[in-house]
Amino acid sequence: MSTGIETWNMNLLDIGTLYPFPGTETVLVIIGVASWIIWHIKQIKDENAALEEEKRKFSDKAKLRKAMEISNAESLLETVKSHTSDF
Amino acid sequence: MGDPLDALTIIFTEVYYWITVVFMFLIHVGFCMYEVGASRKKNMMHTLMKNTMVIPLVTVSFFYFGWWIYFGWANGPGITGGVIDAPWATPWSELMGAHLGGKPFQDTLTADDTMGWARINGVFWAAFLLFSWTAASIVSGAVIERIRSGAFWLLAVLIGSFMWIIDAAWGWSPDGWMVQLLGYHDAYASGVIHAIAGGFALGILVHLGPRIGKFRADGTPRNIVPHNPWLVTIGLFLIYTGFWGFYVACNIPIFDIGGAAGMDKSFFTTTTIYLTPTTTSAITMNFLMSLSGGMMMGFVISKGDAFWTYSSGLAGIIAASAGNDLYHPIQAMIIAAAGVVFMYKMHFWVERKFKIDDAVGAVAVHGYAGFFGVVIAGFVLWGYPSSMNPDYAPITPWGQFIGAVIMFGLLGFLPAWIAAGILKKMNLLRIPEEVEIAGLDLAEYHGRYLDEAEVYEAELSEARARGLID
Repeated sequence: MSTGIETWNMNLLDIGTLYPFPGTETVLVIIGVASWIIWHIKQIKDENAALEEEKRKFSDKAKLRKAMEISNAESLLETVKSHTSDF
Repeated sequence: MGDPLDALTIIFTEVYYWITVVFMFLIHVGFCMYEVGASRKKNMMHTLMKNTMVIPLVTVSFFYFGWWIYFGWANGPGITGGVIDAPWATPWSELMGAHLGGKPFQDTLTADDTMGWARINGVFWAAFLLFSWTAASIVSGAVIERIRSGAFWLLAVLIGSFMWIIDAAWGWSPDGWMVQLLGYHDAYASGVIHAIAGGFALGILVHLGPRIGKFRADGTPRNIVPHNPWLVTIGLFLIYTGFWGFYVACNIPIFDIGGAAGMDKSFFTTTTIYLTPTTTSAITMNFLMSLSGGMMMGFVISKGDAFWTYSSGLAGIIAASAGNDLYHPIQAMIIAAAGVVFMYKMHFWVERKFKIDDAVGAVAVHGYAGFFGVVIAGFVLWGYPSSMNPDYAPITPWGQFIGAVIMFGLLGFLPAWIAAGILKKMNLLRIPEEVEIAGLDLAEYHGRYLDEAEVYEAELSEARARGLID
């Protein structure tokens, strides 16, 4: 059983590919491209859902006002305290 | 490789490009720090992740199609010829993986292909890829604090793995059609990276609109202050540092051009991407002198403003980059200073006139300075050969101007304007106004703050229990 190279004790000028399973390049590219496209689709769906949820939450005027205070807090301590109060 | 001189040349070239890639990584680190520092505290994590994820997304897409476009589309295609066969650059090529240079098993390749590309393909690909990151990262800064990450990442792939590499095929390769017909010369990428990225950013900004609160009721802009100027400073210093790597990555370190020059013997030298001669010494002096010219003018014109002085250093280099393989250092310095005046004036004019909110001045520093750099090279280098091939057009002002318009407008602004327009129609471009006002980090990282709050409360109660505090 060998997935590629079987020995280094040979004329090294004859060695081409070093990676295992040569001949599977096209399949690897299909897997790679598909995973890349799927990543974008999933990311956009997740982001849309998250933003929609935040939009719904901040449509409450009091919550949005509180969020503005938190986001503009001057220090971490102030930020932490702001988060611990009703929100 | 059996011949010692061949082995030395090839492995030196391989290591040379590897080092440039490591240096260029600092550009991305610098851009991330710069953007995070320039953003407001409520958006800094979102800003960081938006630019960080450029790395994997542009990398994989550049592997799948970007690299092949560089070799395949040098003729347009359809302008000076058809699609060029480049079997070493297709994603399924055996040369796109670890290879020792022996005979190929794929019948699209020859033994010369494998011998020539086995050790160079990967590092050369990576050097171009780091340019791709830079192109996308330039755009990233302009659009902070209101673009959706998903939209930005699609646009990043568009500029990083598609548009910029088309312009490289056309105008930044030895036989690109722009070099052949226009005599286009852009040795260190004033146009092919900076003008296109600046134009691309502007195309997005037109649709994206300004951040809430950026403009007063009378239309004058407010200054949205960076939350951490020190991070901005370090980021810009790192971009300077990475720019060194970018410059030497634009060269071929050792190449025999004796035959191409018509000599009857070898002449080894460093060359530009066009295979025309230059020296690393020359570009080192010109890099520093154009940096200095830019900073000096930036300091004067902005009355000592730190942000614009640093940015003008970058803009100065960018303005001189098209011809920094050939300029005298003092020419480079003067051109840099002039480019800074142009980009600075343009930035504020466009901001006021069109209400464009370019958060970090990216359109100015990269786009306007890059455009200026390409055009000015046409005057200063007028009549110089653009190539070792005497049949190709020489460098001219009109060839460079057309080239600058292609870079900034045709390949930069236009595709971004179209793509961003489509995303806007699909309601995928900009975050909801409620979230923008609340802050992106609050929306995405509320849990983190609650964790910090819980730990703080726990420490308080522990300290009280131990009698350390009242």
